[in-house]
Amino acid sequence: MPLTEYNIVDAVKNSDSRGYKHLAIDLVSEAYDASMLAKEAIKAGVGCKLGYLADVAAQASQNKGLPEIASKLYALAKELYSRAPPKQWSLLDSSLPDFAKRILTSSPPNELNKKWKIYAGLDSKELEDWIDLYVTKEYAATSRR
Amino acid sequence: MLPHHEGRELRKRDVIAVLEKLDSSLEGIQRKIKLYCLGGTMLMLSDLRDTSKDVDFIASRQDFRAISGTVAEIERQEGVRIDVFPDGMLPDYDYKDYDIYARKSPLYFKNIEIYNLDTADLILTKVLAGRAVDYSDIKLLVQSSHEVPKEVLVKRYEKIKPAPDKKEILKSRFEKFISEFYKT
Repeated sequence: MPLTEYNIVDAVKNSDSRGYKHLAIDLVSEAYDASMLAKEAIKAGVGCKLGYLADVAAQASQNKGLPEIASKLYALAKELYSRAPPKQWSLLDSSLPDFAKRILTSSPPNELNKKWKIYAGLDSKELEDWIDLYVTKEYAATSRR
Repeated sequence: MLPHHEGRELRKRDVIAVLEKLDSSLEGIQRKIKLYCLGGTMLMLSDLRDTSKDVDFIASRQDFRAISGTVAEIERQEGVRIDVFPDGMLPDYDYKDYDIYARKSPLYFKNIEIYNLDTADLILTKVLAGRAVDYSDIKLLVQSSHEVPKEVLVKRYEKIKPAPDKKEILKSRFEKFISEFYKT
């Protein structure tokens, strides 16, 4: 497996919440073989986590005016979903403290949470901020009033 | 973290370099500018975290006016994001009492003074942000200092003034945190 696909799958298996944000940014900014990535992620048992990240990154890319990247990410999510649809709910970041796990698992899930059966505190809005910083390099504060 | 993540976020030395640049740009100013650091910036300057995506400070309105042009120039030159929130006006709420419990940081500069929000205020900002990374940060904060009594956090929360469209979501995040974090 080429290094990038290996790194991505490894990171999906072993990241914490901060690492997942970096990983989602990698999905936006790095070149990879989507088909091979999907296959390896499913083999490693992290297809749903990667699918969730791909969908979140796709939404964020679309909202930030990056339609080609969004399209590639949606295709990756679709491939993951069709090859290995989710069977049971799990947390994106299982290293979270217990109180945080309880908060996430008892909060109303959004459409992407339901689609992938993933409890996560990362959404496309949060990722858009990182796309500004690390992909499109728009440093001016978006949150400043 | 993947190998190419190295260098993506700011490290402590990067933030100090930004502060040094700001300090030297303010040469000649007749008073010290007070910057109250929060978020990842404070966690990083306190050695609780290795990196931060940006530099976050609260400043009085007067100090904000004095530095905003310089800050924008440093942002442009250095390619970093620096958020300075005047008078505790954070994106989703106002917190005017930010300076009451803040402690002066040991970092020394000629024209600026750095203050750290106290643990309760920092936890409050993290609870109201309500992202998974914020919950991990709360764990770090509690491990490094002490658990903040529920009553203290509730009193601090009562001091915030939410933006009208954020009132419900902030209340829900806070109440959920209180009920889960202090669960016996």
